[in-house]
Amino acid sequence: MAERLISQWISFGSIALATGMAGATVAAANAAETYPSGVVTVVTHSSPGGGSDVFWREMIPHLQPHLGGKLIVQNVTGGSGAKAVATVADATPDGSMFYATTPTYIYTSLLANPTKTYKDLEPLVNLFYDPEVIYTAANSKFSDLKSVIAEAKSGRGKWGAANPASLEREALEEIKAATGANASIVTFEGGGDMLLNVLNGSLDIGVGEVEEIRSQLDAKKLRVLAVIGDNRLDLLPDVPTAKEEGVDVSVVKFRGLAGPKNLPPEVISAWEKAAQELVADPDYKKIYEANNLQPGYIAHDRYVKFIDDFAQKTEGFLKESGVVK
Amino acid sequence: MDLSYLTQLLLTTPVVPAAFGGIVWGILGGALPGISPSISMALLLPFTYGMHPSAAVVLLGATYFGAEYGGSIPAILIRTPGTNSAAATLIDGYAMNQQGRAGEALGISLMSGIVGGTVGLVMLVALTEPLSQVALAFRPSSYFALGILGLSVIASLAGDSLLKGLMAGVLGLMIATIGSDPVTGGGRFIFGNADLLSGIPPIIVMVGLYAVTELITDRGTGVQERADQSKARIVFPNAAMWKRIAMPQAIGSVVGLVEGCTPGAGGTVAAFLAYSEARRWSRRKEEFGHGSPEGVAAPEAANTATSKTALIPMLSLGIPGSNSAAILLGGFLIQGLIPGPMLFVQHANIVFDLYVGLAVSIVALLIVGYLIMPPCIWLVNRPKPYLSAAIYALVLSGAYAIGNSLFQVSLVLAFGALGFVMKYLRMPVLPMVLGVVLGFMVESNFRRALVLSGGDLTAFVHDPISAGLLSVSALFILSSAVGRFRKRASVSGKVTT
Amino acid sequence: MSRDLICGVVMLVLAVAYTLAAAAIPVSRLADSVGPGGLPQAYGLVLGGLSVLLIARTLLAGRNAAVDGAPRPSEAVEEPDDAGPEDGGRAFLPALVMLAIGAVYLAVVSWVGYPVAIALLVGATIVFRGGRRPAAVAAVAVGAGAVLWLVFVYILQIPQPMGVFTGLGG
Repeated sequence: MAERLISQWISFGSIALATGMAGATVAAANAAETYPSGVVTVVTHSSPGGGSDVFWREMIPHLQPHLGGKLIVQNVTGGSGAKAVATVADATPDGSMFYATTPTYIYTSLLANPTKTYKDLEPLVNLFYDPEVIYTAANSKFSDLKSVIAEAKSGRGKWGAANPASLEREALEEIKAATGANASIVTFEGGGDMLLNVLNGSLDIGVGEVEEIRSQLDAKKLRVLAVIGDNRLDLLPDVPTAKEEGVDVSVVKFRGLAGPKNLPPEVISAWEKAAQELVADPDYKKIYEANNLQPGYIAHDRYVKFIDDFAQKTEGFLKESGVVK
Repeated sequence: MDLSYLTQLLLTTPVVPAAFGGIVWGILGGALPGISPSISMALLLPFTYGMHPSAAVVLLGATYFGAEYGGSIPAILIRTPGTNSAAATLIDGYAMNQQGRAGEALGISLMSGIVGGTVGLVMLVALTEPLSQVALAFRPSSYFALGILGLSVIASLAGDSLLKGLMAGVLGLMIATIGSDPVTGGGRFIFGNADLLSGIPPIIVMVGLYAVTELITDRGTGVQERADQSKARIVFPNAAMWKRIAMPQAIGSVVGLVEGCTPGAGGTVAAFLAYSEARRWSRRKEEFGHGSPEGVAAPEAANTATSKTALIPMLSLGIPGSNSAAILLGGFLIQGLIPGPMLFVQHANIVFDLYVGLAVSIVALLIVGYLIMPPCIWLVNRPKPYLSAAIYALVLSGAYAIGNSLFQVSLVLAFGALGFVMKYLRMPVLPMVLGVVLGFMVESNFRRALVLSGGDLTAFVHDPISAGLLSVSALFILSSAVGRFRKRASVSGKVTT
Repeated sequence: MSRDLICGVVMLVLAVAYTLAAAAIPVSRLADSVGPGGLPQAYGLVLGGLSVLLIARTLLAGRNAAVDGAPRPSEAVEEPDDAGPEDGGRAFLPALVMLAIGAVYLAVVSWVGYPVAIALLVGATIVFRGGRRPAAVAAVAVGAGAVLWLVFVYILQIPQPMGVFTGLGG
């Protein structure tokens, strides 16, 4: 799903739909029995209609039968996700409230030093990956990633990332470092601005999620040059990965859940079971495949380590480049 | 799309109720300070999941339109901008109110909203394809130049002292640097406060500087008392007035058209640019800031036109022209529709339905806008202590809604205090507001353009749009400097003789 | 000291502080040639320069006025747009009280909850602004608390801090 498709275009502060907050406190009292017995709130930092919000609201009808209870989405925007993290970190760890994770919360934790960071949350399970791709204008002179790199080595490349300190920026910086290319990386306030500059030829390439550029791809205004991931995409079987093109860079944009620290074991096992069933659900599979999402179930134990590794890598990147101390 | 389809659409689908509902909701949201058009729309989004797809997008589109208009009501009546863009309407709208011409200002604002909305809609329907090319023609250097054009007005708007006007403008630019850096993403001037990471929203600055400053200023039996004398009903412009506001409305519509087509600028920039352009081309410049009907007409036409034209890049390229258009895009996604080049091929009927619904919403604005005026005017004619208290409560409640944070509420109070101090120091507020509105656009695009060109400053000359806009700005600054010099020379001449 | 002089001095201090803070912004490898501190420093210098000009002009004009009684240029040319508040405590005190009412609202809203805090704010403002009929003041304050709670928390679903009333939708 196009996480960035909207959420980052929206710079207004925030709205939160507190529907069911009262219910959540009631649920807390009964959680000890059979989980989940009441309302389970999924807090997203995305505003209504934003990437994460649409993703979760679409998923919930399919997840509900596998998990039970009553699932609702609550939007806690503001502070680039810091607010949502704090809300969940302060909640009772009884499985009644979770945070919808994306790499954003790691970046915000590291960049802004908010009072509650990703370290105050316990990763629960991961559900999906959003594949990141490198694309160019349909009429550009570049035929593959190699030609983009070659251009950048002989002269100066112009590459676009949707946001200043983001997974996409990190991917481009890694490509630059891995290939020794000479490229200026231009950052924008969201994918839309960048897309325009790829379309009008200001930029050689842009990097983003497939979902963001789907309409332009269908209209044949853009071409995808490479996937910055470990595997090719089912939707674009002819597009090689960056690794196949000789650039050893791979990033993952994850979508999962995290809760307050000290989640009870029965909550974790209930979610692990439901998450696996959900990813295998044939009805939902049709929907998420159409949305270019890759199933990416990660069990609780491994997810804790996954997030930790991701955060350390990101922190290393930000420190090495001097953005944070 | 023949006539029978149209009749069927209007009669059997909930498009008409959606258009009216959106207008009512939008005016309400727009009129509440802090509830921006995009927030009003976002609040409706969850309810559109189960809705008829056409009705859902019409509801959101009409809300956008209604909210852009609604913001001007409290701006004119209680000096509280309901939306960012209404802060431009406020300058002359509230001045008219102080002169007992509130009904007239409201009439001009409503009619200019109708004109702007209609022009915008016609452009949207007739010229989406060619106009989407405008979005593609704008590069970072062009956006930078557009921002400079907006700032160039400070030279002529500065009020009693050019020096202090420029200082206020720079102060505004400084406020706009707070938040994450547009290139590195690192925080600037945030002091570890996550609430500041995404910057200080302009609406907080405007509500503080205009509404709170007015509230805390003790005018004794002053301004708001005089509002009692204003006619308790909306007054529509007569033929002579129409003739006078036609030009500013045209300027506003054109500015709104350009701003809507170019993502990132949005209605606020449009409203302020329209205000200053209208002043620039007006024959009665001196009336601006003191209750000029033209100063109400231009920004209102601009921001309502933007509410339609922002849909041009959103529908044709999948790239919203404003925050609110981004929410509408979310509404499309919820319905499983992906805006962009293929939308017109795959779902032409939804686009058609949206156009029809937006046309209905213009009629709805006229009717609803007229009907809600008497209660609004009645409300603001309550005794002053009660009115002040209500405004204060409204402003502080709305400020919380902007970021769900008490920190934002304290910022509004702080900017209220700052506005008071600036008033004491006789520093004009408007240049500062312009700086806040345009600062981020100017800085981020200046730096982007330089990254793209490899640090070569000639990039701003090689881009024809940028070169054109920058030379126009230079011309304006020069001419206003010459004007000032002449005026001063003639005054000191009189003094010595 | 004239207002222009105060203005110049205050802005100069602000410009210096801001420029120093801007210069302290760490430069990272992700930065461009201008850098995160580039434009802020430029803004700071411009504001500083303008402040010095204003101070100089005021001092010069003051001396000229003392010498030959000529009007100060800035006031002779144009009428101020909006005559500012009067000098002295008479204007500042009410403003401070109004701000204090807002500050008290900020301080208590998380404890007593949004509807009560708003009612207090409304009541205090009315009384301070000259509302004299206790029954009317109380009725309007309670009514405002209820209506605004209904609009913001119930209809617009803005989770205002509810304090002790957390069950009511905060």
